[in-house]
Amino acid sequence: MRILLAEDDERISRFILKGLREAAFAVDHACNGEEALYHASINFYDVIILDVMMPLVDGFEVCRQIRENGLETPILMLTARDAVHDRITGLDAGADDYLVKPFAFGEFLARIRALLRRKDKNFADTVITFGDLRIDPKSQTVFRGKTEISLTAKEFTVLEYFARHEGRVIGREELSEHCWDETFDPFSNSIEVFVNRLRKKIDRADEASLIQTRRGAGYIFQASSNE
Amino acid sequence: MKILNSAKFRLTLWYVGVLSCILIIFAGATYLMFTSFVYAQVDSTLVEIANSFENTFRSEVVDEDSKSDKKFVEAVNEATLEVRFKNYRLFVFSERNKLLSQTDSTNADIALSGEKLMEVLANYKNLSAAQTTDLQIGDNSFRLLFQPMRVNDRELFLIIATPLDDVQELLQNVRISFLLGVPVALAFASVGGFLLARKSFSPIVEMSDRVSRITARNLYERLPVGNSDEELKNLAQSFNHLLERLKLSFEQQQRFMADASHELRTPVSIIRGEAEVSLTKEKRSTKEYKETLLIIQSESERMSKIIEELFMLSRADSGEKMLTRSSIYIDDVLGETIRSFRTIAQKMSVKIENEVDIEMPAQADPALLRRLFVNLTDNAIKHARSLVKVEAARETNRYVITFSNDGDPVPAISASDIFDRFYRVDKARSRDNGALPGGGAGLGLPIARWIAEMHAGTLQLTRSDQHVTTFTFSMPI
Repeated sequence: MRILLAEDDERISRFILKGLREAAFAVDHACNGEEALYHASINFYDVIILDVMMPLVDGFEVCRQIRENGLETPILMLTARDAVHDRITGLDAGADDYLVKPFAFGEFLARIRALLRRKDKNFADTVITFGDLRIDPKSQTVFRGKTEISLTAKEFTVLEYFARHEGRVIGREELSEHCWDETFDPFSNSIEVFVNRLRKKIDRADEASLIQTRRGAGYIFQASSNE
Repeated sequence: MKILNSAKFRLTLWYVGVLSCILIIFAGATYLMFTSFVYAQVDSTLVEIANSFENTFRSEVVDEDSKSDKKFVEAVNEATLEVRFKNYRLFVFSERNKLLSQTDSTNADIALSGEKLMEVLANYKNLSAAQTTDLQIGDNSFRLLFQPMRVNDRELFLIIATPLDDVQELLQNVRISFLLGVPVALAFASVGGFLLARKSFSPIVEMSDRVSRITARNLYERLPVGNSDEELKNLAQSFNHLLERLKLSFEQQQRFMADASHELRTPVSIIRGEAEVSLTKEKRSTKEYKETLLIIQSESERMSKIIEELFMLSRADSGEKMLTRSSIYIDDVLGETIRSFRTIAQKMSVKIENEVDIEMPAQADPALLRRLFVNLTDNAIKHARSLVKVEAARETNRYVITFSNDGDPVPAISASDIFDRFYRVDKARSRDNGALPGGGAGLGLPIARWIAEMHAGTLQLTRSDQHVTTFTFSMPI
């Protein structure tokens, strides 16, 4: 899942970025309101996280403009001010949730997952199962039967995205939009490399791959055909 | 007894009290004057009758040869017969207290007899001068006039008597009307007074109701000044001024609290976030852990600095006198402070030039002055491009110390705000400066100015343009 984080304080963005990336999100970082608006206008995000007090354009205004541009991306506001009227302003500006600093990082992640669930019915399940494949986004664990499969954060992101959109053809572009951040190079073959590595980790030797390639179109994730 | 404490009630009580005093004194005085007037009337009639008798008698005595006793007594009788007044009786006594003559009792319904009078007269030793007196016989009281008379070497006493029944009835009526009238008047006055007091207090009651409804949540409310009386208008205005000041200081307090909590939340967020993110993974490299710990360390330092500054400001606000003056050399304190910044300045590739070359003995608080210099140097280094210069001069009655840096000028719109608490010219820039341990919370300059003022001095931004930004501290010697 791809997230935009707009936060001007480098020390705060440092740990949020680190934490989000480790939790298998692709994250872009904006240092001020203007950058945030720019990122939101050119990229697709699953969730946008806005700090309120930012230079140039503050979080409330960014939120208002994003909504004016017709984007319905879930927005989570972060602020060190906890006055009720601040929260009201934030929610009225179009934010979906509001979190006051300092926050527990676990809660922060849980709220992001909740926002994803609310926005997209594909995220309704907290645990995704296909046959004996069990994907738990909360603990970032994947089991095949009783064996735990060890995945990197990025591999998990890609697998979760496939699993969430089971039975639908997913193009490379869509995959890069949702699972890679701005550092993605569209001309590299990193997606192919990733998918192959993922197949090796999750597939069983005696079965057809869960991730099928559709030439010219992309990939499709399908539960084992022998089910 | 709530009602006894009510101003309305007490005002009415005072009013009625004063009014009753006036009425009682007035009624008493009137009564006394009226009484003496009535008696004077009675007495003057008595005297007139006596005079008329005397005149008649004298003329009788002159007409006839009155040397003989017989003639004399006849003259008395003649004269007595001339005296005919309703309700007045005349008695004439010889010098031996013998009743010579009296007016007819038929034309005056007076239950008096000469014998009775003689009894009374026996009680009077001295009857040489005319005098009046009251006489009580049974239920009846009388007014008597004694008048001694000397005619042809003979002594006579006249007694003229008149009943006082009418007079006393009159006076009693007056007494009754006063005794009834005064309380009735007071009753009306107290009701009227209470209503009046209530009416004049009603704006105050209304005002107090409104004031009591004003709490921290609606400090913006004001009392109507309206077209009430001058005193009430003044009261309402005073209240409104008070509310205005209260609102301002309350807002200031709230802003301060919000800013303070914001300032403290940021380092707490970082410490908490860093720790929690670090702990999400079972194993990390030593380098990663070290990085996290360094951040946590620097944020903790920053936080303790903020807490220390907040504590200092709150002591400043409480008006606590915390100045402990001693004999010091300001140039020493300044030199030490600047030396302590060398390493940090070097790290940020800023050169500090200490151009103080005079001795500055003074009575000052070394700890606070050090804090002042630390804050100004810290601020100068943070904003300098490559150079910070500290200079000092002695003017006639004060020391002037300047801290200059060659950084970007303070924007004109911010110049007046930089001494406000938590104010930052550029929030992002001044916070991201990692080289200074625990970057500022926007409290350095306000604290510095407070210290300057504690020493009866001033701290001002005296120059800020493309070349140099200068803060000037001046302090009386």
